[in-house]
Amino acid sequence: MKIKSIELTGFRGFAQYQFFDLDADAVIVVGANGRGKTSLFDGILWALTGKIPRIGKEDAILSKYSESGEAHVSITMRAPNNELYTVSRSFDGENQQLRLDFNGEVINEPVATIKLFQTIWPEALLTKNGTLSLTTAITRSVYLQQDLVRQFIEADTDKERFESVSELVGVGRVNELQLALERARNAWSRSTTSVQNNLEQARSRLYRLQDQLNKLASSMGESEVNVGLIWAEWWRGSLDLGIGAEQVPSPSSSEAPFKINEVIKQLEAIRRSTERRRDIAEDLLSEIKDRLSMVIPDEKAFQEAFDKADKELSAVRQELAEAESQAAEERQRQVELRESHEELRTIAELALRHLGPECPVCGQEYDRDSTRQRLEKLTGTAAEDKTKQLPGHQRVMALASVMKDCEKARSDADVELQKVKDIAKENRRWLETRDRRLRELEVELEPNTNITKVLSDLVQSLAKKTTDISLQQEKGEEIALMLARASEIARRVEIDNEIKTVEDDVNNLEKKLKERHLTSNLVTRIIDGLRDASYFVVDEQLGHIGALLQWIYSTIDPHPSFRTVRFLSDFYRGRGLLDTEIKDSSRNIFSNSPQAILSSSQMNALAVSVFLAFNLSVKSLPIQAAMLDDPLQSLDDVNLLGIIDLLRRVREKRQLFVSTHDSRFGQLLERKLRPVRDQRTVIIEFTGWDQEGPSVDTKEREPDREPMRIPA
Amino acid sequence: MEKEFTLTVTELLANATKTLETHGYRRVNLDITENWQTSNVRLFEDDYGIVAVVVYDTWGDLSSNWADAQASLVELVSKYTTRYDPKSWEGYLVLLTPSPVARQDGLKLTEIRYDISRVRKLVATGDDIKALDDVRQVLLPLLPLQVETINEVGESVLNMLPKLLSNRGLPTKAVETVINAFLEQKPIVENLHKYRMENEDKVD
Repeated sequence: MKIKSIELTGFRGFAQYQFFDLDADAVIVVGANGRGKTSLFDGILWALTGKIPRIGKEDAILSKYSESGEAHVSITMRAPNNELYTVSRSFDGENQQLRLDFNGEVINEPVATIKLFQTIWPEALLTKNGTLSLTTAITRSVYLQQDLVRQFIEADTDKERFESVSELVGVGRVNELQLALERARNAWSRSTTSVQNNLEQARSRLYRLQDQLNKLASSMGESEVNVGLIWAEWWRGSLDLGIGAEQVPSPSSSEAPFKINEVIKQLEAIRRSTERRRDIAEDLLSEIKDRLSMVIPDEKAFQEAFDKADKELSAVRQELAEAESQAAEERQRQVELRESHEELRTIAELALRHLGPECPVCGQEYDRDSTRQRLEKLTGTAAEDKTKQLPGHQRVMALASVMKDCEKARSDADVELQKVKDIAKENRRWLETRDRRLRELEVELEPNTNITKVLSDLVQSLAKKTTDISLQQEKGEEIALMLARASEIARRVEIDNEIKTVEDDVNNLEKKLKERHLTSNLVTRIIDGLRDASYFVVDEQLGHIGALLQWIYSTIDPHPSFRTVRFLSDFYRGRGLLDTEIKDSSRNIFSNSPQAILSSSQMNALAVSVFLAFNLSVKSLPIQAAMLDDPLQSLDDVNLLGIIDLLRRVREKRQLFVSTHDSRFGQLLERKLRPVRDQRTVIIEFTGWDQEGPSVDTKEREPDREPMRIPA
Repeated sequence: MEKEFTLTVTELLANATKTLETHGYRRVNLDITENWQTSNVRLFEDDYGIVAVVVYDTWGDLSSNWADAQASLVELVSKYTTRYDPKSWEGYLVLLTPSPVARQDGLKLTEIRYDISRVRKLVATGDDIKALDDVRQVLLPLLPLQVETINEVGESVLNMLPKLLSNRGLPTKAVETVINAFLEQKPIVENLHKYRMENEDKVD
């Protein structure tokens, strides 16, 4: 994937829209510091990752002079098959938006980031922070930033160096394999546990079967039984005793035990029913016998006696009423007489008190004594009248006594009558009950039937049936037992066969489990190996990268004696460490702190060598480019020439972007990186800068189509 | 004292010629003996530059005559390029000698190497050239980069694992089975188990 063009608006030094044609093998960017060279390089990094770690705050990428307040960078890349991929990223001061146009297919967030990773750096998908991974991959192997030329060698720790190289050489894939294998091992362990459980279940089943077999063996010993002969006879007997019509099964059939069990239950029900009928018949017979000695009084005679007593009572009442009426009249008269006597007695008593020699009324003399006697007689008469019983009253009293006797007689007759009625009623009720019971007992009585005999016969019949049923049940149980024994014999054979099958299962499962454990152990060993393999992979890859590093370092040849360079990797406490060592081979002097030996210029040359070694060694870079932002600072002339000669060779392998702040170096680059044959070189010169952005002069040098000068 | 192995002038010249021709340089067959005052010189050209390889018998010869060689090269370049031709700046002078640098001349060697006033110089003496491949090392700045890309990120890294893990006693084929299952997105452990069962004697 090579970069074809870039458009920037509101991004860092580019306040206004700028388009750059980058569709070249080499792009040389020349301009004084502060005119936008680095912004151009940063634009590529930011479009692809959304980050510029060197700058820090995200909003720092927004141009202070952006009219829209937004930053927008769009780069178009060309794939080896000439398909075009455009990555557009914008930032409004708070949020970023990523939009892809991959050969006509427009993709927006949230898919865009994933799609971008998949397309240019799939390794990012294997890391916790894909954006960081991609950013690191680009800044370590594609974009050598101006201020961080020597960061990898000087500032990074040995651990950081190792980790960044690990990602570059694809160790993430090894980690992914390790994780996948660990997940698979966990699933395998769960499955193995399931096999273990199956084994335990099979063993448990085997123990149960062996236990069953032992029990069966202990209950055997009786000779083999043959129920066939008594089977049919028993069923006939049962049918005779009233069980429901059954299809008689074969005694050897599996349903025979269940059928016989059902029939025995039916017989039990019939037996209980028969016993209940017999009890009813016996009770009824007993009652009937008890009632044989019972006399049922004639209700009519008692009714007549009652009626007679009632009639007599009525007559007496009538007579008494008449007597009372007469007695009342007599008493009235007596009262009136008594009142007359009383008045006379009062007058007599008054006259006696006033009895003088002459009549006070007429003044005549009178016979005083005789008068006195008469008067005294009058006072005494009255007293006698009070105690005198009247004849009417006496008659009433006599009739009242008679009526009382009549009432008692009537009451007694009534009581007797009610008793007789109750007895009759109870008898009728009993007869109804008896008849109902007889019906229940299904006894139909003909006139003149001897109920006692019928019932006695019935009781005997039912008792016999009960006995028959009990015997049939006992026989049934014996037959059931015989069947069970016969079944156990068959079951023993079945269990024997089942035990063999389960034993086979147990053996197979034990073998399977053993094999699974062996595989699991092997997986664990491979996982352990993979844990360490990351280091060995990096170490192996560093061997290849190291050879190229030496080539590049020798090409530049920055130091007269320390002319050998190599990567030193180590594996300590499960972590890889990486240092860069330089060596004076002629004296066998070496150092893994190059900054202590090399000058600033030589260090820059070494840093560029390391960067290019990674850039050229890793085939699957996010973009097939090498971007070096002003790498020629602090280089002395020989190192400068060495690096520029090297860059000319790099352009044969990578799309080369190189910038310089020095116009003389720019001319040197332009000359050294001139296009030959079908190559293309674009020179972008930043001639000035104002608030709208840089002034740009882009030119393209004509390729030297016949570069050989000396005749063959 | 151990006798050090040294290459002859002929061997150095032949090896330099072979190396440059192998890497895209065209040898220029000009009669230059007269101008260069030595027969141990070869001229080469590629798209970018013109290279002169001069081999001296001794360090003394080299230190005394390299400037003449440079002048000859500049003259030759000037003859075939114009003043404005970028290639007129692309002369490279490779100065070789099988003899070591005199102890007192170490600084002089550095000065020659760092003198880029007219053409870039690549200098190597018997101290640097102990074997044939050392000639190639000297010529590296002139050669196209021979890049052995280390991987297609991902799969080829996995391909390294069987050998790496076999060093730890893990069966190569078993590891390959795991990797293949992983790449083909098949059940990894099941495939390994199947392989192990079929190759029990080799695995366990």
